[in-house]
Amino acid sequence: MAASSLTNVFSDIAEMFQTANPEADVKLIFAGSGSLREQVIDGAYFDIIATANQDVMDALIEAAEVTDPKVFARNVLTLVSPIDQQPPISSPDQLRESNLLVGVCIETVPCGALTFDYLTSAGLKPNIVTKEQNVRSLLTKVLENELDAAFVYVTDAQLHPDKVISIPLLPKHLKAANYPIARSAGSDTSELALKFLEFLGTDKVLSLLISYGFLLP
Amino acid sequence: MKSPPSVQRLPLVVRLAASTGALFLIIPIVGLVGKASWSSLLLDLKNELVLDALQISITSSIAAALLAVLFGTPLGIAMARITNKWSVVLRSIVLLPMILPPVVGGSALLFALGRNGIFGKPLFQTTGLILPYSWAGVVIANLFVALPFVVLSVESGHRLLDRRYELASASLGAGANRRLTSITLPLLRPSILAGGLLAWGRALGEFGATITFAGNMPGTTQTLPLAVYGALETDRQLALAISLLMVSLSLFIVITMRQHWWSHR
Repeated sequence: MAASSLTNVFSDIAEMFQTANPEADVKLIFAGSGSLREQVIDGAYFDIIATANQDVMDALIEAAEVTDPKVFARNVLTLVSPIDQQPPISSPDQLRESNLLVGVCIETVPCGALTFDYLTSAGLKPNIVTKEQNVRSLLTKVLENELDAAFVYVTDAQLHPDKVISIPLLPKHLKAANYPIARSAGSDTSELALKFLEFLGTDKVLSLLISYGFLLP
Repeated sequence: MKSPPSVQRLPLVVRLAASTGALFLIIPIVGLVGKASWSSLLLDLKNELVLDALQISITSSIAAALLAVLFGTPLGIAMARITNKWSVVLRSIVLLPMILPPVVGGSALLFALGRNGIFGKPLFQTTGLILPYSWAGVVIANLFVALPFVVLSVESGHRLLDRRYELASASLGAGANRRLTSITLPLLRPSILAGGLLAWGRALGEFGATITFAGNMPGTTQTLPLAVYGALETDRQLALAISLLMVSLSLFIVITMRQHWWSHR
């Protein structure tokens, strides 16, 4: 199980892992981190879980659902805007103009929490018209030109270099998202699970993570 | 009045299958009711997020149901009378939103009426009006999925009408308008009501088209189903409380429908 913002990179990693270990059959479940937590607490079966924030992982540790958590990647936010936006947005300060349609993730999901941290710290009050439940649906609205700007992860912005431009945020107001990964406390295929976790540390995977725009811990 | 044949007379296998079917529908509701914490229910519901969502849900679904009746009734009557080869095409298009995944409907609305959509772009350029992210956008998403219910109900109601009333009034010299207002519409009243209530219920529960087309903004476009979806990730008790509220609202519609609809049969 993995957070939605890991969709592309984990699909690649799973393929690489299966090529290296033909006996493994990796099944991927992607959802928002909060939704993953609820699924696990409701008894969903999994071997490995990667979330987009520490709080969710902490809750799972407390519920004794997972063991051996470790941060394997980090991600930061960026501001994206449609590539043909007129006039183009070149600085987050332009969000002060109230006529721009701005989208964010809702406060209760990791990317939203980080966004509102940033807005408060930078003293920005943009014209927010939608608070989406996940990054992907937010990004779609930018790709369709239905939003002038949105706060998404660098890794999401990087998936569509031909359709969106990424406007860097001010680092001093910006916190990074930690991606912890852990094993199920009750998994009976833990040998393969351990192998997968080990595989995450290989150079091949690390360079893949970097190529997707993730930072290493 | 003849009493209906007794259930006990049905073959055992029919009774078993019927019970399974009923159980399948009842079990999830039992789960919902059983999991709820009744003591904090009212407190959960008395929060601003829920009250805002309730208000948006009620107003937008009623607006959508009224619009559905306003436009769906004429469309249903027209469809019952069109007999040429185009009727099949028209009927398919009108019924499509009933089986289309609502998310697809929402995307279609976005491509058509969004700020950058085929019709939405000229609208924005000439009037500055943006339909997504607004209450009007929620109503449009609701109307898209609810309209077919009125059309279908009115059309089938119209097919069952006794045409002799209209023919008789025509022979007595009543014009097309007079026939419509004093014969056809009164006879169609139960179908229009049933269709309108179904449309209302469907609009109240609308999720996919709304979140795709109108977005999710607490206080502006966040309806009760959208609030449940959000709360499921953060606050299970709140999600349960909103769900129970939705169950009550839907029950109210179903019961109203029974009273209006069944009593005419």
